[in-house]
Amino acid sequence: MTQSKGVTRRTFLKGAGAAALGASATALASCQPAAPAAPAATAVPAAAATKAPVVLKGAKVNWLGGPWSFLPELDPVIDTFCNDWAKQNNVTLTFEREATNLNAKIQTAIETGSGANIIQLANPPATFAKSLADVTEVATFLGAEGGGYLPAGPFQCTSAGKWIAVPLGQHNWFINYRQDWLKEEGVDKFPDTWEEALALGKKLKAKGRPFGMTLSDKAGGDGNAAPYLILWAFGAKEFNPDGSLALDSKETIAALEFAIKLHNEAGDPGEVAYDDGANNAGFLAEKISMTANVNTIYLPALKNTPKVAAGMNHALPPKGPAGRFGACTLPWWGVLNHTKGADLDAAKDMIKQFFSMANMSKFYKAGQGYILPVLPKYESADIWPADPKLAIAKEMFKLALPAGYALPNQTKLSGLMQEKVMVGKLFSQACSTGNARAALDGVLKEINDLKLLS
Amino acid sequence: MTTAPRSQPSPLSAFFGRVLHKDKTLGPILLSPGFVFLAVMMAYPFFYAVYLSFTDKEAGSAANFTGFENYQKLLSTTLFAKTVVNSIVYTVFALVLKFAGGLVLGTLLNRPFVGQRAAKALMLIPWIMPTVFSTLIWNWILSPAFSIINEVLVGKLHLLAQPLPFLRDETWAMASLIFINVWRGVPFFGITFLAAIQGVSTEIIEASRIDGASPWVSFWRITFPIILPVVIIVMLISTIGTLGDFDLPFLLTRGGPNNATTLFALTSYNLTLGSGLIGLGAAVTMSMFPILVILVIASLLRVRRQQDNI
Repeated sequence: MTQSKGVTRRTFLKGAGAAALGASATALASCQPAAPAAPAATAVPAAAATKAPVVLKGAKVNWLGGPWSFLPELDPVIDTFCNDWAKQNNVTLTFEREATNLNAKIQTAIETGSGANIIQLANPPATFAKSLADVTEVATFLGAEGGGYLPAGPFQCTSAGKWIAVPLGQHNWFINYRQDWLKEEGVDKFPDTWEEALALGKKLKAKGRPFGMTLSDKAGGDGNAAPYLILWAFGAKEFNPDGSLALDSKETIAALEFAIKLHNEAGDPGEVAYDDGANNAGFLAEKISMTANVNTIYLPALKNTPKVAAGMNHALPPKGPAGRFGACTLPWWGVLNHTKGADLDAAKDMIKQFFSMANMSKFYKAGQGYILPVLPKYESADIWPADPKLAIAKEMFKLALPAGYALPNQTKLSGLMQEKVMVGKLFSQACSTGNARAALDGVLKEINDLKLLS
Repeated sequence: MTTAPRSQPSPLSAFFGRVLHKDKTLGPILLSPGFVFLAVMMAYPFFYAVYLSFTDKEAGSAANFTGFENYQKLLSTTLFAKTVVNSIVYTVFALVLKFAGGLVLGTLLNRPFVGQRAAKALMLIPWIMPTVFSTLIWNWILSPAFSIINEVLVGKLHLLAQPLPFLRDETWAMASLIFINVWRGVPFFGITFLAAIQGVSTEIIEASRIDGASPWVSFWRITFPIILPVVIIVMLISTIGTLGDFDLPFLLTRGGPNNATTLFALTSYNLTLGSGLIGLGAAVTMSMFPILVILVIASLLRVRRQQDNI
């Protein structure tokens, strides 16, 4: 048995200033803890958010998340609503957006007990389960308002029977393809099966128009989605429902062997090391004919490269032997549990108000299908894009599964696997080396490392 | 004639006067600000990191002493094994190449030629350019999707059928990382070696030539032994920097592909700030320490022996 006498950071750090030299671990631990929280207050009811400026008075909320760098129009929607809410409730609200080192900032906020109250992230909150406040009341309220969550919502945001985060929505990955180039091959729409897609891809690659799927571990977004379209279509999955690992299967090998063929015969050689922006840039530069992405190729193309926008279209992911699967990532907002009293009430209330259907519809509409709801009542709401090329969004709405399938909920291990983009790495390795079995063995070893270390 | 009585110094100023005039007390007083600074900013974080490496500390939770458990865990993972091998390969190759390149550069720049001053200034550019800036440029040059080298070799000149896998193949990625480190480090080696070479008396060199030594022999038998202490110190500084390099792999490869370019600092960063496993991250950092201690002691002993011989 290991000795378990708790030594608090405060005890150890008493009298010490922030020290940055040396290990990053030390830098984290050297920061000062948060000031005591303000006394508790009663949260404003959702409907009264814009009318009652007193009950949360004096509370402070710091929001920390990534910018919506692929669709910057979404940031002002959040800012405008939340700043209005803060002003009317006399809450001091700050926004901090971190594009590249968000995880590091969140870990620092958790360790120091300061710097952030609400966090926004896409990787599973299970990784931070110990540091997130219970937001069951807020999630339950919003779920009831929206007709009950789609399975992906609680899958992503619950842990040990309670909601530790509230799902903001889902990004769905669908096929972005050059319809005009397909027409030159005598094909009108993107094929319905992966095998047909491979046959088409060979012809396109021969003309210098390869596919560009992000089969890579350098992309935290695309790399945690695009490879799953193949993995699941071939009947493979990462986990069994009982939590055991299911990746070591003949279905995984079949998926990898198909991916190797697709990469070698139809793919861009660089796709095994794409970052999140590489497929967008490649498509917009007319170097690739197909990729799996959200609508963040089409929307910029409408503004900047009209020829690409006119020539492209979207399609559902092709079917494999096990059927058709969509992949999604699910950003969420959570409250760090060092937030106490009135600050906690204010943080929860801000989420409740911002996520309410009346308001959230504006956010979804602004995204034009970039981020979709996880509540079925939105199906009849005025949020869906009018552009027929984006009608795919509504088709994808109920199709997509998040990484970690078929667990009942995300776990710390599934969260770490997504943080390290393990399935992206599996496909990248298989396609780079041409050896599916060796790639799988290597990734299984790494997953074992993650189990051991966490 | 009357004289004004000399005023007696106050007891406090007398005390300070006595203290400041004694070597035994003045020395520690002068050293104390630096000592306090080092203790707070370096010794404390270091010892705290040592302590953390023996705990199960995670972000947001208390640290419990777990002995060598973190080290045992690390030793059983492929990630740590790769980190150690990568760090050694990266450091050894980068150092050897920087040493060779620096020596060639220093020797060449020691000869007078037209534009020598401009050459000295130009060669410093990689070294003085901010790493973030230069690495982003290299990222474009070597990008898996849009490498300008591949664009020229494959797309324009048609010299290659397939693009070179700079950052997507494990060996190529490590080689690219080493190349950029060398590109960045050679100017420092070159300019330091040049300064040392210029300090060698020309009379000794000329005497050796009169005795029939070739330039090659003269360099290795006379110049190099004289500049050896400088070489050792430069190698030592560079070893510490290269072994602990973070910015280059972080910005260029994020440790990939397949952890082929993850080094000690990046692994520690990923565990600590990526996954919140602070105790494990500290253990990775600490595992670098014995290597550095051995290197520092060996280098300093070598320098001392060299100086004794002189």
